[in-house]
Amino acid sequence: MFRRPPRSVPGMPAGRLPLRTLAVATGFALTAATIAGCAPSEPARDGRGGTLRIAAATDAGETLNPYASNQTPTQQLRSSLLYEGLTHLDATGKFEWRLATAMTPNKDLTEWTIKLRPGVTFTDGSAFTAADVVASIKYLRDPEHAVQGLALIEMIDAARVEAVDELTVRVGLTRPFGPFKDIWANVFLPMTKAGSAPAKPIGTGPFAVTSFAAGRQSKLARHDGYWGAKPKLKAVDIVEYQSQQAQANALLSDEVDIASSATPAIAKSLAGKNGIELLDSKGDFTLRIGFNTTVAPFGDVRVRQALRLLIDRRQVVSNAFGGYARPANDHEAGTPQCPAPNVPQREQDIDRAKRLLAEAGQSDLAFSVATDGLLPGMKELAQVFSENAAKAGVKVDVNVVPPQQFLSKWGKWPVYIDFNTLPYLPYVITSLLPDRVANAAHWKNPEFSRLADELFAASDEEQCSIMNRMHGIEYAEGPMITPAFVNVLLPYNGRVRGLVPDVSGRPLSFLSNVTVGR
Amino acid sequence: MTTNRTTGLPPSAQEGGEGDLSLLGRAARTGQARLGIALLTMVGLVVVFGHFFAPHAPDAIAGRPLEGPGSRFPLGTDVLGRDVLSRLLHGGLSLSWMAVLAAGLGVFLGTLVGLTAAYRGGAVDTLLMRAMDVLLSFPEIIFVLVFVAMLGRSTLLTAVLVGVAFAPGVSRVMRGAALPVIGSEYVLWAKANGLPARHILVREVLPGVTSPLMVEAGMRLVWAVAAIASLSYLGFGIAPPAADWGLMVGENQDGLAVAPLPVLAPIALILMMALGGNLIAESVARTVGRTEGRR
Repeated sequence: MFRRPPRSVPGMPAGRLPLRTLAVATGFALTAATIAGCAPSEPARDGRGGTLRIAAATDAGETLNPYASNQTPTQQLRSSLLYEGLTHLDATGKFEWRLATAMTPNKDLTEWTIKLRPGVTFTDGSAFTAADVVASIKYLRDPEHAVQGLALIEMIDAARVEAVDELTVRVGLTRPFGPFKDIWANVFLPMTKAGSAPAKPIGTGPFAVTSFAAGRQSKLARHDGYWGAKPKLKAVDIVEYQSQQAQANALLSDEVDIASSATPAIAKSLAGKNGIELLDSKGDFTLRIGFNTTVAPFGDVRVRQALRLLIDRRQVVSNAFGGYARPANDHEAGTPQCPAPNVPQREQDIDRAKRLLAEAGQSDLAFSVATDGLLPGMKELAQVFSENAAKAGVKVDVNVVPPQQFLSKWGKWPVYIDFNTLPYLPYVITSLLPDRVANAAHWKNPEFSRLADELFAASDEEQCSIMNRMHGIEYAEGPMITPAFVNVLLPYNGRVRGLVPDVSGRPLSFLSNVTVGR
Repeated sequence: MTTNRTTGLPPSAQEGGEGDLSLLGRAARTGQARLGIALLTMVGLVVVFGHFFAPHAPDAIAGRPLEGPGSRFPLGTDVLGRDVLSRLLHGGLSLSWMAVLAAGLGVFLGTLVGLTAAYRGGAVDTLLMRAMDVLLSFPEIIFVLVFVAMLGRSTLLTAVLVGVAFAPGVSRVMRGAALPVIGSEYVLWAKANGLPARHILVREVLPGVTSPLMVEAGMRLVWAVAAIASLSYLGFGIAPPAADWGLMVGENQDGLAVAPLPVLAPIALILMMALGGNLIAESVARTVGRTEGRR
């Protein structure tokens, strides 16, 4: 069922060899297989890099379209290997150019000129040009397609996106926007060949699809004409499983080489078994408890602050996330370049919470937290919060609903658990400004919006201080409890070499140095 | 079917209430039933009095996750760091009342439908039994899940749904058991005297089918325990953070390899409950078979 590279030495028909040569050859092959992971970076001619089999969560409704509206982690994982954007964040969160090599604005930041990378080819062999970028941006910008990244590029004037020459694109904006290059650095805004999306999207990524069965398995093969660092892997198989426990079992029984998601309990129970190791990506990934500010009493900032004072962040870290996390302070992370904002770490304070609730007339508050439990720690976070809140007489039920049901009532849940993988700037654009789809708390803060506008027009030097003031507003009035920055855990077989942890929580999009020994 | 009714079977005075009390007594004297009673009594004591002895509140986070057994936590802690023993001692109550309610409702509805179908015959019989067949074609768990997905989760709803899901199975058994009784002379006599149908069913037919009814009730209780525990395990029964045996199995399975007790302890109790009920029901059925099957 699963493809494995042959153990014999290529080009040597084993049957015709004398016995001794055969023994030597077999020995060599076995040794080669075991040390393949340590081998220096030479092009893998015949599967030397092997096939990496990744266990992912089942997504029966998935397609290959990278512009689909509601993408699960499985779809995003595959997209990150097949498609590329104009810019990119590396595994340490540092900005990098991808399909673009420069972006320059006019004086008032309302028109940007994008220089494209020369020599890039699509996986079908055709050249990547300005026409493809224009088509992709126009597709993404069309509100009818309701793409997930639409909020990020709403300032683009679709009528003023045009190709200047083969490798230059000019993009007109409806308002000044400074951090233009940063908004492209995510999986939501990939570039595809003009006219190919959404039915048969063709990308420029390091891999191309060879077979695809929605909800079951997809097979990807190396794109040999890839412009960047060519992957050593010959192929990647993404196999889908119903639960994280099933992914763990598949890893244990050697059906896959890496599980793309694991709870802390699973990570602990797999440790050291059958040579399984753990890739622990520490970063700024957050799981939060959101409060819908249009539902009473959560519109009252005193109630929200009281609930923030009830949660025991250390307990969240140690018990909900098994220690694989660090306490957060009710605001998202900034960028690696900026210092942390100057606000004190919020600690559990039951008495103050009770006073605030009494002031708001909500001493016997009771509500339920909705979660689909999609990601490890979601249900656990809700339960720790429930236990903490009970200490102040606040009754919190945990309402675990299927993912489809959770999404169908998105924006209507009074209290819900969601997550954020995005860096601060795109996060603000998609989730904290009024009337954005991801702003399920319906939070509106005029001062915050004003600062955001300032941020969008600011130079790089001014950004840190503006961001810190925004963090301050989140800390004082924000719509959610952000109790912890959570590590992303990926158990993998020790034969797999070259994996790197990623601060954005997507380590499987960095496969260029990965090899699989057998 | 109508031929059965006309040939009929001799009425038996012993099939009244007293006869069945002695039947229970006879069944209880078998070793199998004694083991069953012992198991159920043990579980019953844990369910009813256990929570008085719990060292912690069932949802209190008292330690680190997945700690091994020790002096502070005799059975260790679960994935969230809660005391497994305390949760175990608190966790049987919901399961028990839900199972009793579900089994009671299932047997009541099933008997009602089965007896009515058997008594009225003809179109009513066909209509009722085909409707039951349609219901029977859904697996119980799927049937419950459909409604829980539509109506939201609540313990009462789950118990009622499981009960309704049991009704078709019970109704078939009860109809089969009631047919010969309804064909017997004393029922025909009651009919001929113009007694109301309700009176005939309750006073004349029902006492004649108590043996299969008891076996059915016992079996359904066991199945209700299994079904409700499964639903909680799947996350559709009792909601977290409540302590419940089925839920505990589901919550802690991720840590099974490191800490097996949080999973195995509730399974042991569910098993004792189901096995105990099963043994008792089985021995009643056997006693019925030995003494009344000769007819």
